Amino acid sequence: MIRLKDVEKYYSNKFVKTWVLRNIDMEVKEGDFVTIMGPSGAGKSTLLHILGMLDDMSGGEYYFLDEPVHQLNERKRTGFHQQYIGFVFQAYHLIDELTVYENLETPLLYKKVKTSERKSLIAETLDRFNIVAKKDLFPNQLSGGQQQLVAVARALIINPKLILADEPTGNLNSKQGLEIMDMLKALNDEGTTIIQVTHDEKKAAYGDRIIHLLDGYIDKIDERN
Amino acid sequence: MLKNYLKTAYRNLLKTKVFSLLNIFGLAFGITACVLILHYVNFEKSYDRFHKDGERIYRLRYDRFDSEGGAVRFASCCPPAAPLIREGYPEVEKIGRMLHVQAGVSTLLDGREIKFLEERIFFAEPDVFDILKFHFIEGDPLIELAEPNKAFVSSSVARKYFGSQDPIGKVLSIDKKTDYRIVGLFEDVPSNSHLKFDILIPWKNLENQYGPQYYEEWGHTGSYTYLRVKPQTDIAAFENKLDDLVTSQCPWLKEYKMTIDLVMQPLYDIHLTSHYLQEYEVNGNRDNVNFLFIIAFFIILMAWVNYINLSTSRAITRAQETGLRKVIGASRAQLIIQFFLETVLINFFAILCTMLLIKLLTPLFSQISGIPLTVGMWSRAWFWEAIAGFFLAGVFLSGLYPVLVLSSFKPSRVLKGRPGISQRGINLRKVLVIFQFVISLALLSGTLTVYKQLSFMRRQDPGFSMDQTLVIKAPRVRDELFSEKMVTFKETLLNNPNIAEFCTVTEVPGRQIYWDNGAIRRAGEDISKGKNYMIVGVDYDFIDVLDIEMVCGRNFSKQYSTDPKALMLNETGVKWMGFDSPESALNQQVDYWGEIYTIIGVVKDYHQQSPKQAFEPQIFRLMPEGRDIRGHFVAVLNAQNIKESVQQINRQYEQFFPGNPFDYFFLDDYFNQQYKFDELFGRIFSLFAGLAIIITALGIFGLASFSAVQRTKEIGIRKVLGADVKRILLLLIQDFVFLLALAGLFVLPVLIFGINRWLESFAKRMDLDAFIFVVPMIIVLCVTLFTVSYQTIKSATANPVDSIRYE
Ligand SMILES: Nc1ncnc2c1ncn2[C@@H]1O[C@H](COP(=O)(O)OP(=O)(O)O)[C@@H](O)[C@H]1O
Ligand SMILES: [Mg+2]
Repeated sequence: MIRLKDVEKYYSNKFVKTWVLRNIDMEVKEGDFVTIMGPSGAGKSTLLHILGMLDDMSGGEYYFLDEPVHQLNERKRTGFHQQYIGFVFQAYHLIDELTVYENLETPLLYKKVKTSERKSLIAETLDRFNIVAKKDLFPNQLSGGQQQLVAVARALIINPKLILADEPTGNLNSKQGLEIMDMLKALNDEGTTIIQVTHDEKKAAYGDRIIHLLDGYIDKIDERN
Repeated sequence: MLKNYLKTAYRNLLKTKVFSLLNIFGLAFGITACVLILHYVNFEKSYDRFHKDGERIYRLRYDRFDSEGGAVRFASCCPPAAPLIREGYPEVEKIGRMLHVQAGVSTLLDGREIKFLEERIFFAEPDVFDILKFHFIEGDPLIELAEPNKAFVSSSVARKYFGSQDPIGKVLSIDKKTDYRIVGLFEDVPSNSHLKFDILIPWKNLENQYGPQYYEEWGHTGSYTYLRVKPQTDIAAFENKLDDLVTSQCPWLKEYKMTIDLVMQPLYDIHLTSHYLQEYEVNGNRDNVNFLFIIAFFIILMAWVNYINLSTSRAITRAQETGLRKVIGASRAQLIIQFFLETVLINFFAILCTMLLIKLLTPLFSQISGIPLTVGMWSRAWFWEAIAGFFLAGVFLSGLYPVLVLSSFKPSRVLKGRPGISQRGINLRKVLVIFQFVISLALLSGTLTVYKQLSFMRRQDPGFSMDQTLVIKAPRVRDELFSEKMVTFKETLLNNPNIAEFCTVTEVPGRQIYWDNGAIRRAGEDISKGKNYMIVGVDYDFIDVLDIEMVCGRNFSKQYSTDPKALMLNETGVKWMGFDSPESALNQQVDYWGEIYTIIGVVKDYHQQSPKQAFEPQIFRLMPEGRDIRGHFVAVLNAQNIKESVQQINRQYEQFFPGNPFDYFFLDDYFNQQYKFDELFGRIFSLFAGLAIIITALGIFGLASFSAVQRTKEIGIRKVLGADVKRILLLLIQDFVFLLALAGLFVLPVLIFGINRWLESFAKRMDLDAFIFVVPMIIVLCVTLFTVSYQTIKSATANPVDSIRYE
């Protein structure tokens, strides 16, 4: 599903290049649950953003479902988001001006899903995440855990093939965190590919492979099973 | 989708209420100012546009040049030109003449005499109304005006004299000399006509008034001549033909070494560019109109800049949302649509506000600008076009920048918590603030300049006194006993303890003298040395009554039986005639159309017109009885019982000169009227300067709050560290003061250039002083300090813990 070949990323600032990622080769198959670990500043988020096509690479090749992403234009890439990719972040990142219901609706609107289908999808999701009662509340009326729940729900509503989660439990207490991890696991069992970033060994254990990043290089890869 | 966009947009507007209101009001004020200026400009430019085929209509003017090239330029023309042109020039479709007179008009209604002084009566040839298409309700002027003793009146005149009765068939007596039967009615002449008349009487009757020779006089101007040419007429070639006509008709010109030029003046140019002698009314000024137009442009620019400023500064907080929307699948196009929609919403509310503001301001603006309320805006196409234009331009211009900035955010940057706006954006905003400062400073300085120059002119010694001075139009209806009546009238008045002084004169100060004569020269000089002078007929007392100073020589006096053959000059006249000094002019002789006059005195130059105008050469002739046309009585009243004195004079006047309407004014009011246009300009200017300041204040407010947000963390930390609010404030204020100083440096040379340019049209100019530049700086500084302080203190007194956590 995903193949990175010698991917690199640097930020140039007045003739000085700051390398963030170098020599990244990796492959992720459909149904994988990959964990990325590493110290702060190692480049984890950057890698995740490149995988999610939120950021350009400085060099190398990136194939997503055999499409060469490094050669695609912005419109095509937007198409991939809408189609295949869901994001979950450490900060919950909901749209403050929209209610829970509308937050869930927005990606479907961007994807131009028909009204009837949209309504049933949202109803289904609200049900599944047990937040039907909250649907007319605004994000600031929810607790952190609830907001992250909505954020995950929003990532899932488009039924993505790939979920990218950047420290999804970082701001939650351990009980809420475990709930979210269980949810991701369940999704993975249903076949969704998941790439998560975490600092927590216990949560890293949910994945079947751990990629350790250090100063922009892949330091080592732990295979489970 | 649209619903989602609208919802977000609407909730966003609500969430940032202050920002939204700033945006909306800033735009609304800008658009309102612009629309009002456009209204004024449009009105000024609409003059005479309602005539059909107006681009082929001309007014024939008259210029006279003496041998030294000195020119006298008239708005009117000499009477004999028109009939010759009518006959011999096929390129002219129609040509017609009009002559403006004032007269006492009376009528009998149900046995009661009703009389008024009418200032807008015209003798007119029928063809004038074939050329100028005014709206006639009853009667055909082309037919009726061809016969003598008929009259057309305007609807309001009809109402004034006859109330609800039918005016047709009624008789108007003009100056108690000639009776005219009303045969037609026309709609009141629109306020945007350079020519305004209330009563029309046939040109044919003119002969009775001035005698037949009037028609043949090439040296006399005074009648307005309008003509319409055939399409595609070569005007320059036609003017050349007119030169030939003048040469063949006026062989005497050679002898005087004078030339007369008949000039074709396009109808559409009259109101904004024509400032000649014998103009029917003081015309507008194209420079002022263009100037206001430029101001309008800058004000709207300012409003848009403001909007860009506010929106981009807010983009920081919107960056998060934008990035997020991208992450969950929004395409760039979808984002652009969303932000445009917000812009549309804001501009829409701004337009609503504008309409409300205009509705509220219209009466005030009508008062300030002098545009009648009846000239509405709402029914005009331009108004809606302008509103639509401002809306669309506003959406695109002011929306474009924020839209591009917002939609081009790299979501990755934002999500990693890095600022989405570069230093370049901040610099751009600073440039925009400087721009706003510049405009505000310029407008404020401009306002001050106009007011200072006006008060400077008012402070000038006019050279005569105008306190408690009553001016009465001299009687036009006169009988054989008039001379004796004058004497007793004067005696009676002077016996009244309320009345201090009395004199009669042909023209009181307050406007350009209407009576001018050319070809006047020193006795013995060649005929070609003749020049044009303004003529004032005075009695023995004029100089004393108006406290006008003599430079040398003496005033007219009854002790000299030779004085009817004497004259006085003003100082400018002395120079004009070529004397080295006033003294050397004394006892010299002047050839005034073949008669020899002796100069007995030189009068110190006084301001016949406002100090805006330069002094003109004047000749004072002795006319103890004054004149019937444009004659004036001047009575200086004692300070007490002004009202009573006027009534007493009124009673005496009616008794002595029955049949003459009593029409009076106070000299100071009359004289100060001349400042009307400049005062109007000043008022309009200050109105817009005020609006500009409001817009700037809004802009600074926005930027200050932006800086405050940016520095919230810094302020928070400093507060934790124990810094006081004062220090923080100082930090922020520094930025703005620096920008203001830059703006000041930039605007200074522009202002000095502009102000000097404007002052050029004034004969007497004030000195430029620092005041004009410093005061605006202080005002803008105060506004800035206030807004910045307000914003900063608000954020600085917020709980520091909150603001730190915020990041
Ligand atoms: N837009 C950017 N411009 C410059 N440097 C960046 C940018 N984004 C990230 N960095 C730098 O790249 C490095 C890796 O960042 P990041 O991927 O966020 O690390 P992690 O998520 O592993 O903590 C950091 O040193 C960070 O300062
Ligand atoms: Mg990170």
